[in-house]
Amino acid sequence: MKELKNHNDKLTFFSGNIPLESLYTVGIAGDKFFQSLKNIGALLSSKCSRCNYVYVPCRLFCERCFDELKEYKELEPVGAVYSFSEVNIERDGSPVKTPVQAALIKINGADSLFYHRLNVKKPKIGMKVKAVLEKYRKGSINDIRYFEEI
Amino acid sequence: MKGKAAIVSAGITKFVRRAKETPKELAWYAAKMALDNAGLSLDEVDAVIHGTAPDAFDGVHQKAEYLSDASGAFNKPYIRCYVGGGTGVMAPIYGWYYVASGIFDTVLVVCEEKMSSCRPHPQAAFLTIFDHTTERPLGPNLLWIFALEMNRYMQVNKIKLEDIAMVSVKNKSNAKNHPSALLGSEVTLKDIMESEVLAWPVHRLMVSPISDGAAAIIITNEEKAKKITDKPVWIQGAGWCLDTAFWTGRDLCYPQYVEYAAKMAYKMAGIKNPAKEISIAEPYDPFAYKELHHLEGLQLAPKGKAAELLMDGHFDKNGNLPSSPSGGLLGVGNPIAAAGMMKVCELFWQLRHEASGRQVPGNPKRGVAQAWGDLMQVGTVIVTGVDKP
Ligand SMILES: [Zn+2]
Repeated sequence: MKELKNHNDKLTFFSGNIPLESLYTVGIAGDKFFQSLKNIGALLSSKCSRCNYVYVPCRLFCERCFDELKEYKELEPVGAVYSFSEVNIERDGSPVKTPVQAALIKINGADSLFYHRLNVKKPKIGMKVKAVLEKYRKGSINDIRYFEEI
Repeated sequence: MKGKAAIVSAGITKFVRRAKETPKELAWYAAKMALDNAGLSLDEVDAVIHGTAPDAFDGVHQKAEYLSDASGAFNKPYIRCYVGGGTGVMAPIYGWYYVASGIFDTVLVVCEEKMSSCRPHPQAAFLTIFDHTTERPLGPNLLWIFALEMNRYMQVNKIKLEDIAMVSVKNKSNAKNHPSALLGSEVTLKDIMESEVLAWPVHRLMVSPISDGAAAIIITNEEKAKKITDKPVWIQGAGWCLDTAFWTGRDLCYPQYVEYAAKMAYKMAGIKNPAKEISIAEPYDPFAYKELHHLEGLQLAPKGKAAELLMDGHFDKNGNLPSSPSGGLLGVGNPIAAAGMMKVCELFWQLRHEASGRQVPGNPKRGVAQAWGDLMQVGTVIVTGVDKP
């Protein structure tokens, strides 16, 4: 078997793509979640009345019990860092300009974890954090700018 | 287990950064090698299984159809197996139940991946596996979420980064003796620790390299196996399990789904004490910490204690329970589905004393191979051994 060394050999390979675009659906529970984030800056959760698990962002059904989730509740965007990473490279492997602080946050009152960015000096597991929201919100997960230390 | 099924032959290509061969050509090399090693012609194969991960890697939609002729599927029953990174061990499990059920006598299982086609980087193929409204706009990729998992695993179990780095040292050294290896070399702890931090705490040399490659095995029933070889490697147990598809719903410290999959396989194999009854482990190691994480899930180390056993030499090639004697994904390379299959091939060669410079000492009777994947929620486990189940 041969390993290809010369990436510019036009006879050996050529460029192409799979041309596709998508129009993604926010969904029944997603619509409620983003309305709540946009209008009042809260994180809408949904609780399973059988197993009491609280999902945030809210979902339509409990994967554990397979029941519809009907108990919606607005949670304050406040919690503690469950785990974090500081990312130094772009997706193509090149260095990032400013490291991204990726984090999983345990929102107070929820059982599932919430994925977002941090903007803190020195991230630590267990650090108490709160969301910093955009003033003009569009109904997107990026309406939360990041989480900062309380 | 009802019918008996044995692995009677294996084939593998070199794992390289960018192969000159097309995906089809890679698959054909591995499949042909497995047939030749068994002394079989394609006519003697009753059905074909192809394992391959996302279509996006090769840049071909319906990749299994594209790869079917190269896998020997012309005029035969054919199926694709696809559970992300778990595919390389799940595809042999498909092969096992095709034969154990009595439907087919002889099946060919082929796994292929050509990751170098994917631009700018195969990681880009994983950007679209996250929730499209609540996560994707934040731009996470697999490397980021594994960094989160590794950090949590270290913090909760109080594991030192240096201890995790020793998995890379061990596997890259083991891979020196693997003819397919992309990254076999003697690297020091210092080399690993001083390699670039990609996403804290993940360093570059704690990550397996993206690669192109293919691997294949032939599984037959007892009667056919006897005709082909006097050293069949029996499939004694198989197990698979899913965790939640929402990665934000897991504790990240312990792979419960691997435990469930392993227990299913051990029960089938009649194994009561896996840490004592298994001679060789090939846990999935795309990242250094995952080998430890998975050894715990496989019940081969107590929860949170795999790093301690590693530091005691327990998992060395000459240790009590050699782990990744192949060199693993960290050393041999990680063409996803083919990498998992490489682990199944390694058990085949080790149990037949055909692993040359990688051969573990003594008389290994039984091995376990495991793979993991999708959005890190799939566990697939196979137990193989020299004794007929
Ligand atoms: Zn429930």
